[in-house]
Amino acid sequence: MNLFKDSDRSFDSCLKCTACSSRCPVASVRPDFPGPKQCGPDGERLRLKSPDFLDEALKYCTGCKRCEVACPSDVHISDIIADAKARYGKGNKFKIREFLLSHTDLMGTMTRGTAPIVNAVTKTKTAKVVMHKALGIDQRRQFPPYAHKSFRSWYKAELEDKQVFARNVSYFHGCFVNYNLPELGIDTIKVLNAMNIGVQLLKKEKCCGVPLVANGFHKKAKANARFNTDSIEQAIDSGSECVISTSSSCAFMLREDYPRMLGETEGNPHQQVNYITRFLTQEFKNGNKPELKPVNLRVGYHSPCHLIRSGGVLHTLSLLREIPGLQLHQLESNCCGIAGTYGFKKENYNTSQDIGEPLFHQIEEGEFDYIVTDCETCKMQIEMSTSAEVIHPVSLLARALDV
Amino acid sequence: MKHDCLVIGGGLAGLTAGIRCAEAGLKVTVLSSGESALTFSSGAIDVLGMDTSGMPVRHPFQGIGRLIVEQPDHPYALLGGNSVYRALDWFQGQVAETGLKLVTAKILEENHWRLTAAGALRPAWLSQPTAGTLDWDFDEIRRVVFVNFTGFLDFMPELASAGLKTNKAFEHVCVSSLNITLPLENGSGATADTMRSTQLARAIGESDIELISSTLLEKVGDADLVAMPACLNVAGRNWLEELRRRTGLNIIEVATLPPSVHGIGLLRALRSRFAALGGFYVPAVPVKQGVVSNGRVESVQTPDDILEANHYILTTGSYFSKGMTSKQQGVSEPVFGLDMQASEEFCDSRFLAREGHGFNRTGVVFNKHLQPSINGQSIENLHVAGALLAGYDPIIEGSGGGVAISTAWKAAGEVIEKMGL
Repeated sequence: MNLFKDSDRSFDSCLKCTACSSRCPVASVRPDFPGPKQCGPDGERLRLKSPDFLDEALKYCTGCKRCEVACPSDVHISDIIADAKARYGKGNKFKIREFLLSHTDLMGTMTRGTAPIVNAVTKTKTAKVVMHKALGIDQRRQFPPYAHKSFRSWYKAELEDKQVFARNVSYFHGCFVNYNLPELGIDTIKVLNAMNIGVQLLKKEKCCGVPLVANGFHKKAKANARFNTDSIEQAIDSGSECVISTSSSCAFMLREDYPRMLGETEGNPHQQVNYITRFLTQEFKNGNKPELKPVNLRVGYHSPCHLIRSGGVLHTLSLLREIPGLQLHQLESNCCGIAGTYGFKKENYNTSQDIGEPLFHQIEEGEFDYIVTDCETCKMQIEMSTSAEVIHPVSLLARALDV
Repeated sequence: MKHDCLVIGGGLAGLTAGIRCAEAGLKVTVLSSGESALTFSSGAIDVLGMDTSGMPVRHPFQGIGRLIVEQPDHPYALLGGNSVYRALDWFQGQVAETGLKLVTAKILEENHWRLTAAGALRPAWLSQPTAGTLDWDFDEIRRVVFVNFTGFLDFMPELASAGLKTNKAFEHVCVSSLNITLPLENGSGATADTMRSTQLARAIGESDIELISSTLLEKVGDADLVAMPACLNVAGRNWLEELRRRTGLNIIEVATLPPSVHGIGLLRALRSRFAALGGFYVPAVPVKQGVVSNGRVESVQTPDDILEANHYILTTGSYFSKGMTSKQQGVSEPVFGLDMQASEEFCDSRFLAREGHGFNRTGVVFNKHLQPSINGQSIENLHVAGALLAGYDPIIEGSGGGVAISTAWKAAGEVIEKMGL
């Protein structure tokens, strides 16, 4: 029998140095979480012998990947834990909750035309109590409001076939821009058009799969990966230079996780996916930089975990530094605690808020006009837990455009 | 966008260089990869602990004067005792700006003793405030107790007390250990044996502190020194001060096995100081290669980008941090392929040889401006600092922290001067 079949063998490189444990946001606030070293490489050895060694505490891992950033030996700690949860986990107690939280595109579609009602209802105490008791979604959590009109319908009505540019990119807008924050999509188009680049949408797109993987719907995630990959391929074939995303987590999934999920490490189109600030800094460097007027604001920059993991903090910082007049302060790198759908679950709410506490404190102390961050769930968490308003780097850049 | 200065490496040396550049008004970015070795460290800074004959050094800056006469290739020889002192004094001030008040000995320009988790005494220049400083002679110490919380694996009081007993100065001192079983009020039912020091701090609550206080008063009320694992002052909860107040005992914290609360605290302070001065810290971006032509670095390559700066400071550390790579063919510096100076003997067959191992003295060759060279040609806009420098042994000398800080301070000074600031 091959014990190692399907197992991520990178655990063999673990030196037991504990660098990962010192960086784990969950371990720092939960004394009962054994930390990434024990849950990942240490535990994997045992689980290969028998699944009985599965530690229930694995469920507390948020998948932030800070352990992988810390690891000096390139052990895929977070992936090992995620795979173990998927392979040996006993399933979720709140199946319906996991389904509702993770099927972001389906939820978005269902609110079409009913957004004002849904927004009003999710704010009511009764709805919150019902969701808390029946579903296990914490009643203290605020839901992001749904937009009255989806980004895709706006694009179809306003823009389709109206952009005439020699260069084009395709935009994977993701669920959040489509259903919750179309303004960000509009800003993205505004910025790219100002740089003489047209923006096309993919023929069709499904949820990137981040929340699906986090909630144990691996088959569905893989199906979405296949679907989106085909769309990306099609876009590239029809003349798009690349695919951009304004969500640091969607971009990470599309670019880094899809090849692994689909078992296609070569000749795939995933390397054509760029997180927006990566693409923009490259363009600026090549001389394609729009006129920028001063934006006299004091902002704090929060780096999302998945952007850190992909090495993208450099791009966002470089981009923000191009905006004249902007007073930019880099916040200490702390996880905000929400970790996608993690913080919505009632058993995780306190952990989530405890993790975020040092960040919230810094934000309140800093007297910023805005907090800038790349991730939609970081935005939800910071806006719910502090008095700050959170803005995406591209929206800030859009303000600097001289139009 | 062109940076004034790119610092490659985000550990003690890299952040020190970054802070000095940022303080001078330079646009500086620190590129880091992996985790700084500070998270494993005691959070104390040694400057020079042992002289060349293996004797402890009481006056480190005078000791540097003697050391560099014997070893003119030592990195300290570029600075001299006075400049090393200035660098360390400046460093202490920068860290203090964040609220972390590192302490020195009570007597001017003297080392103090620092107690380790193995019960050894090490001469140190700066220590964490809760670790305290032990005076040069121990006349007033008659009883020492190492206390642990039953089950906690990263601190072994029996080992520590046995270690301290081997020290001649403690021959007639009563040294013992004590384990206290805690309820761990905030531990969510988990026990100490599954926790790291960073977690134990969170698990301790008021009832635990009450139990520790009463046990100490009952069992070791006459101790002159009580040493506990460093896990009592985390996330704004200063239980140590509370214990000192309730018992009136002289209680100190000893840095544990990693992860080390004290080391992490120092790293956090440095990052926060750097950010406050307007510096940018970029995590998870390893520099793969440098492009050098005509004695100048033109750019450096990361997995995603080609980055350009006027000046570069290389602080990628030693073997563990991948600042140096050791293979059968020899030791090399992987980013630029800098000239190396290797010791004749790579290692001593005795693991704990007093003379140290050659591989620790092996490192990058540098000139008096801390510029390295490739095939004998100096690189004008590149400076090196910290653990990858040749010509010193941080372990045998007890000089790792001091060399990292003072050479980084000097490297930054060279850049600032060249930028005309």
